[in-house]
Amino acid sequence: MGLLSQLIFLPLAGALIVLAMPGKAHKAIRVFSFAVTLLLFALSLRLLPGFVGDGSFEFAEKAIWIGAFGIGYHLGVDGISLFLVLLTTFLAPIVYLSAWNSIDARVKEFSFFYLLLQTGMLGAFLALDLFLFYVFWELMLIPMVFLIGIWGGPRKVYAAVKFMIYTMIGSLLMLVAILFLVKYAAGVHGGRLSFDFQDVLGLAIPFDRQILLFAAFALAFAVKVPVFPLHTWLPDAHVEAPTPASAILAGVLLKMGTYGFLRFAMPLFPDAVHYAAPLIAVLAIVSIVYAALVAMVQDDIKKLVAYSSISHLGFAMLGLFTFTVVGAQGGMFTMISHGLTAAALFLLVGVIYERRHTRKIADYGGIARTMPLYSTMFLIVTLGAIGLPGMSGFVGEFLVLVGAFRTSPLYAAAAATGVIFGAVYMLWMVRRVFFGPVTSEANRKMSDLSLREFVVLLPLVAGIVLLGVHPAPLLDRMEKSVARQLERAGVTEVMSPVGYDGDGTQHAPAPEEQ
Amino acid sequence: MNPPLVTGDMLRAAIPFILLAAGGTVVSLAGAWRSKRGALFAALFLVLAFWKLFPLLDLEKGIELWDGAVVADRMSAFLGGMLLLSGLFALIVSPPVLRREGRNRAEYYGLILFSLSGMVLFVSTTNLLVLFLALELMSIPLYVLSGYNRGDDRSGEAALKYFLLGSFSSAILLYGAALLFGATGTINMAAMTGGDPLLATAGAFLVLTGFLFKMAAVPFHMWAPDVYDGAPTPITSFMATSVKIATFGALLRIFSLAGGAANPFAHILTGENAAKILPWLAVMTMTLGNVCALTQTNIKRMLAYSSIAHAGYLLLGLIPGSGAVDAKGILYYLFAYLLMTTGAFTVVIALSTRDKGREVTGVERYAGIGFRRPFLGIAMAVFLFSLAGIPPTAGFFGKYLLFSGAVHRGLTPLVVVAVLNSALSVYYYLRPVVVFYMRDTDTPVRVDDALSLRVASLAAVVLLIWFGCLPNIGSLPGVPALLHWVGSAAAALP
Amino acid sequence: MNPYIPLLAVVAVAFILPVVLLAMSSMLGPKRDEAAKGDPYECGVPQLTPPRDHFPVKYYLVAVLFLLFDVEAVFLYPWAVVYRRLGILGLVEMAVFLTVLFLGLVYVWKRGALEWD
Repeated sequence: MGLLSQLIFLPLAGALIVLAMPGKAHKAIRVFSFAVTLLLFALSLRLLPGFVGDGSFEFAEKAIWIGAFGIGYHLGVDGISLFLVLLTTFLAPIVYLSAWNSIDARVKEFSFFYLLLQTGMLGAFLALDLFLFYVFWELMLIPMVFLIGIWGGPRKVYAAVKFMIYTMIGSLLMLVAILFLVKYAAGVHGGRLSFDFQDVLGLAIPFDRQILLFAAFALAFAVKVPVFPLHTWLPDAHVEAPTPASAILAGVLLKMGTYGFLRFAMPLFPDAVHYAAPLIAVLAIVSIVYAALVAMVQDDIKKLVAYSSISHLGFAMLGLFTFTVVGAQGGMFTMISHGLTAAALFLLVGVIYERRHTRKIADYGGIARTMPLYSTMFLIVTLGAIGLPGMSGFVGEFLVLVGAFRTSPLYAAAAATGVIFGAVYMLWMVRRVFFGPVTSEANRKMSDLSLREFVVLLPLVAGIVLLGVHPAPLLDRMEKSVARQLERAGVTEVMSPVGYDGDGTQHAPAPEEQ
Repeated sequence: MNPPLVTGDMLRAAIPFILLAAGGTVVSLAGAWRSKRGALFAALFLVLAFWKLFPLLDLEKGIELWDGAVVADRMSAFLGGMLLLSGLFALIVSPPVLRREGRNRAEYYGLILFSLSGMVLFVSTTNLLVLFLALELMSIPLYVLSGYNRGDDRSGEAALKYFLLGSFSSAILLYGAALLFGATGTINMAAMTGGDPLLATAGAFLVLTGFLFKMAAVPFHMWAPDVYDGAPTPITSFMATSVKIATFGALLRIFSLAGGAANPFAHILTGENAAKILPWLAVMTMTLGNVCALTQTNIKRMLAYSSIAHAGYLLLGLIPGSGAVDAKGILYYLFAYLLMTTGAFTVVIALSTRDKGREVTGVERYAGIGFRRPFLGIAMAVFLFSLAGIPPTAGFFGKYLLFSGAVHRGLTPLVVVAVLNSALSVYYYLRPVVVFYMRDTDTPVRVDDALSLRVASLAAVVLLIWFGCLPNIGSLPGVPALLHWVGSAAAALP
Repeated sequence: MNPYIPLLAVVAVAFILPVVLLAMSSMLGPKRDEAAKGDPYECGVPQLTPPRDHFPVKYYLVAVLFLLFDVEAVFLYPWAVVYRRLGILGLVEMAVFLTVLFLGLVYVWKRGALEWD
């Protein structure tokens, strides 16, 4: 079994073992599940030394699954999926540890669904066979629905069902598109059926068909991102979801949408993508600005963070649809950075929610005095989220804006307002929650971060700062893969990428390979 | 020249049917002596029939007796196997229900065997007379079984409704058969050619109508919710699965004969105007089934409407489009449908109680049961997700086969309608899951923990997931192996 | 000439004749209504019991059983006419048929359906 298969099936095996454990043994289940997630992260680190980053699919595994229908078991990792996989495995132990006390009922079921979710997400990032991808794509939906529906807030059922229906409509239409695409590919390849990503690439599909197929794929991915106006499930899901589910949802699951665009929708339907690009770019900008404006008026911290996610994912989308390597790299980097900041923010909100059982901004105020350590952490993460230079958020947003400028200065100008709004609503919220006089007696008694909470948040904060000052390792490994993916999407003039060395000086663009 | 008395071929072809009919007689007779072992006796005959059926799966060439009166080929063997599996599930899950009601009579099991013998005959004939005979043989025991709960007036209502409407549809089928015979001068559907086109088309349509009634396709679906709801739950489960398998199996055989343009059934499949009817039927059936299921609070009625919707998906496979009828897709889907529907009904049986003679099967009382009875909860979730077509279950794979086949035959718009329907269905399939896991209650509820119910649902869960995603592992058959069997069964058709 | 025309003529006559007869009787017959004429009666005598009385269900059971075993006898007639041509196979088939029916009789007997009380 190859490394990638191990990554996918380790959590599944863990989930099945959890299922067999006695439900009362909370401690044992927690320790075991946490060990599985830690092992998963350790295992995923083995990807790094051997990774070349030449734009091809590495660590590839290929086997026949259902030969008669050309369904294969094909896995591979490139610069695009590598960091998403690492992000997933990095968050897995952290988020699990954060839920150590907050999930005190039905620990067994929680751990089962949590581990199953890891399998679904890793599988979706690593699958290179459309059928396999679809299976994992659906597989990760179910555990999330349960996580929201069982451990969620008062309107959990509504939120879970809405999340499920939204995603299902999109993904089922994608299934039809996949079937049609495979049929078309079989016609080109002389009747040989194949769901393999590389076999369905580069088909000269007539434009009218391409538009429909792209629309089906785009709908499935746009719901996940989510792009305005398909975003309405997200605030509901986040507000009702328990803290760990929120963190995973924002940290990893939302990236499925943007990943899907870059991996599948763009290279498979180049003509349609170019035709639809202005529309999608505009929708991305609307997402950025609209979500930022809505975030500004929220009185619930979690809802505010949820809307900020929509806004940031809009940046990632815009980056991809600038059709420049810089922009797409920026989009990818925004995804990673947002994965860290959003997960951290949701966990931080969870910390005070556990103490006060309220998320209303008005209920807090001045807690910087009572919880100095917590407040420091929150501030660092906030600065990372709003893109302060030297923090991870800055690199992504900056590259996206650079790419957008090359495509259309108008886009860049409009998106840049989103950055400003982002700073406004986040800092305004921070001011109201942390500074000023302590308004409520309950806030005076709040204890600062416990050791466990500190250990949970430290890697996230460290990651945010580290990626901000030293983004080069990521950008370098992404570059070729992003460029190749754009090339498949029919971007002929590949722009020279901008990279950063550790000290922040620009280095000369590497000559394009192909 | 006298025909030979009994040949080996004859026996091979007819033995499963004979075993089932003889079993029905013997088990019913045992009822006269008030035997309590009816289920066991019936299972013995059923397993014996299974054993005799199994070699037929490898038949190189079909055996045809008495002018197509009985055909034994890999198709009839595969369908027969599924029917027997459905019967076996019924034999396993019935005793706990009957015992707790003090009604564990051997006749009940005898009737199941009689009905099964009719179904096995139904899927292995091309002769109109035998077809009608088999239809009655499979239906009449089901009419009786629907009314088996004598204390429950809804059960009586179900039996009467099913009997009246069923007889009506049988008469329509018989009328169609008469017209076909009048037009073509033969009762062997394989040999039918030419004839007066109007008469032949009308005959073919009337025969099709009889089938549509049995599969509960719109607009002949009205009986299904009431009958499914009123009948004892094990019988609901049995008829929801086996009747669908039998009707679609027989239709596959009949439609596959329509290769020659002169065959009356070719008018339905490829005729200029007539060919538009099947797509509309499919769309109406799946849409109505799903839309009506949305508002059901009684889980048996919900599953009844869902079975209507599944008939709609299956009809998709019967539309030839630019190719031929999709036998493979239909067979795989039927297999999945058999497991997931039986499984879902088994869980319903475990959770049903009786209140003043009435069976109570509302879902709402079982809030939080998923945590108190983990296995039951997981099993139900798997069945419902499979019904909704979510991977990695056989329900998803069957749907994939049907939809992909339809796309290949140029029916993409229909497939889009079908997937939108599937998305709609997620809403109501999710509801029991929501109740089981996402609502809490402290009200104690009674759950039937009978071993046989657990065994049946465990088997269904394992098979559903097994044939939903696993490749062949060593000598263990997985999805490719099942695909191979389905393919070879389909290849037995002309 | 089409051989079905005489048949058509018969159908036509069958329709016309009753219509004509009914029309004639209603036109020619005298009409005098009396109370006694509207009374229900049984074979010419005044009614003794209410007409909607229940029959004991046993009658139906007997009727059904009679029908069943009567059909058995009906089957025997055509078989008897051609049984020479059917040969030994015909004999075996009828034997199987009769055995099944006999088993049915055994069942009915054992279950007590033939007992009146």
